[in-house]
Amino acid sequence: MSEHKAFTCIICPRGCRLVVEVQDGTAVVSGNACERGEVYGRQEAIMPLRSLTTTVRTSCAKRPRLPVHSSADLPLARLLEAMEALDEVVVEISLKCGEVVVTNLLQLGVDMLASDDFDCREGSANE
Amino acid sequence: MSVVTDFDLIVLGAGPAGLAAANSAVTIHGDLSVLVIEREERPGGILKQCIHDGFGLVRYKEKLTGPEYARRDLAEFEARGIQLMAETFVSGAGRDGDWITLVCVNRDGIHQLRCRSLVLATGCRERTDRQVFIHGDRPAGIYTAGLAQALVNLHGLLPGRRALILGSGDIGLIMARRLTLEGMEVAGVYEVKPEVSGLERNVQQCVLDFAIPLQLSTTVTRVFGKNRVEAVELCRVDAAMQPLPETAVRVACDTLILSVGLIPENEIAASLGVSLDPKTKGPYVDQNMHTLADGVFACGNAVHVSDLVDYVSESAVVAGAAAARYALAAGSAARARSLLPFSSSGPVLYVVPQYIDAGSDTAAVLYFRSSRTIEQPARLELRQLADGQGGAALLVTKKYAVLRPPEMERVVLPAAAVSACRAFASGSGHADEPANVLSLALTVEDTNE
Repeated sequence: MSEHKAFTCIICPRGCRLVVEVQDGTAVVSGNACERGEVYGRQEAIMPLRSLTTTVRTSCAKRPRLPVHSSADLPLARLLEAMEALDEVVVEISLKCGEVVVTNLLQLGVDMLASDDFDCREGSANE
Repeated sequence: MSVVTDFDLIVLGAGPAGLAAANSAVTIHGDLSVLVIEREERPGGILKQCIHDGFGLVRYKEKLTGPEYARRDLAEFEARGIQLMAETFVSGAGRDGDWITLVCVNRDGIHQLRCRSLVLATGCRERTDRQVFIHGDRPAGIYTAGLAQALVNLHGLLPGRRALILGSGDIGLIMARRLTLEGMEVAGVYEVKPEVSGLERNVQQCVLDFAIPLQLSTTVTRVFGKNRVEAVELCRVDAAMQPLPETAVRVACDTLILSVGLIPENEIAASLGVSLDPKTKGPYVDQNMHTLADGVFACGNAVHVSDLVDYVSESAVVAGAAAARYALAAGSAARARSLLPFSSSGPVLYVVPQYIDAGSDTAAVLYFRSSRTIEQPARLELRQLADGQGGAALLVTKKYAVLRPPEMERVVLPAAAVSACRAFASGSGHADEPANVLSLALTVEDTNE
């Protein structure tokens, strides 16, 4: 049985329109302008993966949120579950951009990393 | 009056454009005195709240979040020890002989500053509900997409429970996803035009991924609610974008988010007599990002609203370097510019820069947008038209498979081509006397059999 899927590649701003034919478990990608589009198209047809970018709470009144991003893509279907898990997190220590905030989110083997430097004492000196 | 502080160069704005311009300026000459003035508390501009990824793909070949992208320029800025005046507003600008003068206000009081060259890196502002003619009561719950983004991403506050988004610009699409992830219900994204304003990939990953309704040729015609938004009225529009009253439907929501366009911010430019292009709403510039006012340079979204920050940075590097050279040459006789304007033909919305300084030795990076979606092959030709005669030297040609107005196209006019123009350029070459014209022609291939 053959399945036909069409979607926009999200790897770069070019936004190629991909068509993927899935036949007997193999996916054939067309419409892609580069190799990354082929890899993306094949994955997308089987199980869509997305990066997750969000914020977590901090203990600093002046900067109540720290932006974080996933170290790798996770299943699109589990993004809302991941958001719920991150609801519990409060950052109380200073961090550098790129440092791990949450390890092994939902046991998916993906970490959440700080997207910015964070100084937990920010603003306290002047107040 | 109080003490006047002199700088070689002042940059207005510490967003991605301002930081890159300042870094680029001190690369030209390490002893140059450079000051960056910023309205907000922290540098980084809008990138501070753009926590999503996709930044830097062109400049760094990496997928970065907004704060990470800003941090790269900021790290260099701090390492170079460039002076930043934060939480400072510029309240006036003028001229004093060869100097550009600024009056600034901050907690310490009023400051008088002078500089040899000025870089406008003031970014852009969002259009509001009043600018898209949504009238009536002013209940709480109406936000521009950028304001909603600041509330959620910087302050950790949700703007409401159920949102409707008007406009399909990138920030609107990104907020549709962001609000959904944070637990708000997004009733839908509605766009008055027959096509999406934002990038295709954002339609996919921000709207389709979460099964959010997206409807084109539809607009908000009324807002209901006295103290808080209770509902909005949606109408389909005809080909002339006029609402069709018989299609009106009422949709319940407590939040209306507007992503209806960005306008370059140029209030300071206006006070310095910098003339603005009605198409871009930003200053006319040459390839060195030099405005038509001598010594005043502009870059980034203050010139034209870019689709990618990477291009904002690229124009800022050019502006910073050129402003540094201008400042260093101060006192010596200024070289008169030999400005050739572009005349565009075909489905071209605008081209930036609008002028080529044929007297300059630098290559020109041109950005243009098509005025409509073109899905058949198109060809761009840049020509030098000597004294208005057609058919003269072809400088650059480029082919496109697809052109969409949301996506900016970039073309380089090599330094050699700029030099070639010099031979044609008239002596005075002032902007008011476009004796020689550069033509940018976009031709769509005729696919009719």
